[in-house]
Amino acid sequence: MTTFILEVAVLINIYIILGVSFNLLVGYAGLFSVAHAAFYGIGAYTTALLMAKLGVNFFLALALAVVVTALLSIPLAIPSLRVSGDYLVIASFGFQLIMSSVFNNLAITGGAAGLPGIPKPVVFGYRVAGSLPIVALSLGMALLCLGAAWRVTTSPFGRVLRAIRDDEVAAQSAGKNVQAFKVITFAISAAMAAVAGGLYGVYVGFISPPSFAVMESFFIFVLVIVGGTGTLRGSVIGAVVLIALPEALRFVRMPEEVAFPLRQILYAVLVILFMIFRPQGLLGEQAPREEQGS
Amino acid sequence: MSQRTQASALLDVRGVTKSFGGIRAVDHLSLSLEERRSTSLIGPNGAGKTTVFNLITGFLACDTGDVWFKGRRISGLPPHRIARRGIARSFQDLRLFSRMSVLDTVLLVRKGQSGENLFQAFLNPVRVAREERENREAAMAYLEFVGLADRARVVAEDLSFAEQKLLVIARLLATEAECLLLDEPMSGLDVASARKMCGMVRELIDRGKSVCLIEHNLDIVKEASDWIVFLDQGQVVATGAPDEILKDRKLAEIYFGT
Repeated sequence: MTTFILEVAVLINIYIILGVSFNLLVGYAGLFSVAHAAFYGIGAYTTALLMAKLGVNFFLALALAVVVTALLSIPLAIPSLRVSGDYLVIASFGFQLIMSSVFNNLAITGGAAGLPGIPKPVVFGYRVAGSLPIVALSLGMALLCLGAAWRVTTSPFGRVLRAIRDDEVAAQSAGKNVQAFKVITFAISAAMAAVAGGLYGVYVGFISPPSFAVMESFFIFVLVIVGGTGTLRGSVIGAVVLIALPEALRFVRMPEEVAFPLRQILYAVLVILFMIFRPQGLLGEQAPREEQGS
Repeated sequence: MSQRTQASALLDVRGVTKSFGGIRAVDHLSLSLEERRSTSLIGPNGAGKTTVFNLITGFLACDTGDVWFKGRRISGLPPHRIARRGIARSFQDLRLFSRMSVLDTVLLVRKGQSGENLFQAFLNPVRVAREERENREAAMAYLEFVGLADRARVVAEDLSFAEQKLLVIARLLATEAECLLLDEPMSGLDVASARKMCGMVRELIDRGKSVCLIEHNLDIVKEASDWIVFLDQGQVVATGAPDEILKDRKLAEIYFGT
């Protein structure tokens, strides 16, 4: 039971990273993409391959994966400069499908069969195996990403992102290079997703394409919508709720062929209900309000 | 009236044409804005006034002709580069950052913020924090000027319409641009607010700004401008001091369509 809870905690940490990084894109910059799982996957495969095939140390492999993923986000960021809104959703959908088929068909990724035998990370000569150490590692990474995201969003950089989200034209006429801000935000968001990917690989020890498919992108989308766009705390809450809830439902005995579609239905219903009744999510953006009577 | 020659104009629009499909919105138009003067663009609806603003600020590309600012060609530059040269504009439909606070809106437009560069934001937080403090002071001064200082923490969309128009002005001023293009800053305002806005425009000129206004209310035009450029069908029909232009019967016919 304890092991089970610890394993769920690892997943929660991974999804906090995914949610927070995706929120930078959607909630702060207003860029709607459904390709986040693709970046998650690029990070996971790059880290795993470097470790398994070349014996690279976990942190070095992760750092390289972060760089590779950030660079690969540029092809998607560039069309986003010209197309926005609905069109970016479609362009990112295309990107996601392309990456999924790359994962599925490259010889080096092991194709549909997946990539087994990802070694456990070694940190300062200590092999991170077993539940507790991996919880600590993933928590550390999640806190690091949260801290970085906090700095990004509370800095003048983050203020420009919110301005772009609210009115791109006005941001331009205030002298902001909107295109550069979008490319940088895409890169940061993708880089953090890569961290989550690297963690996932060493945690499970095996990765395969379905973990990084379009359904996963939707799931991250749901997580951010439920938690609330434009709030980092919201994405933390979203991750906790959406990971813990289905895991808790595991205790209700039902066969997997029922549980899986049931989960999908649950996510869909959640999104629809939130869009109707609480579009700002569980924790809406904390807008500064004037104190009464001042 | 300033007697400066063409060459010393702050902003020069030279023979600019812009067509949308078969319609020539702006047709070989030339005009110049003199330093420290308030110029009004007037003319009937569809005369091309806002199009001229869009051509100057780079949101539209000129088909022919070019735009010069302080002796340098600016046409062809992207809008943000033109803005950084010192031209700030407002929009008819305000285009406020609806979910940002009044203070944040004004802070945003301050130039030279090193914290907009993430390397600086992460590696040089002390400098970024110091700049933020300085910018906050400057921003509050601009809010003071337009009379919104006590609304600094309110979200833009929660302001009244008149307040939103004032925020537009504060946002424009905080850029510290020399040349301000105002697209109908008084429209929709009650008499008192419009009067206040007029006074503000005059004060901006005193502070050394150069202002170009698009305005429909001729009383306001008369009060707020030193020079009038009358546009019709994308061309400059007449230029002159407010008294001359507003007395001209032929122009009144074009303007009111009588």
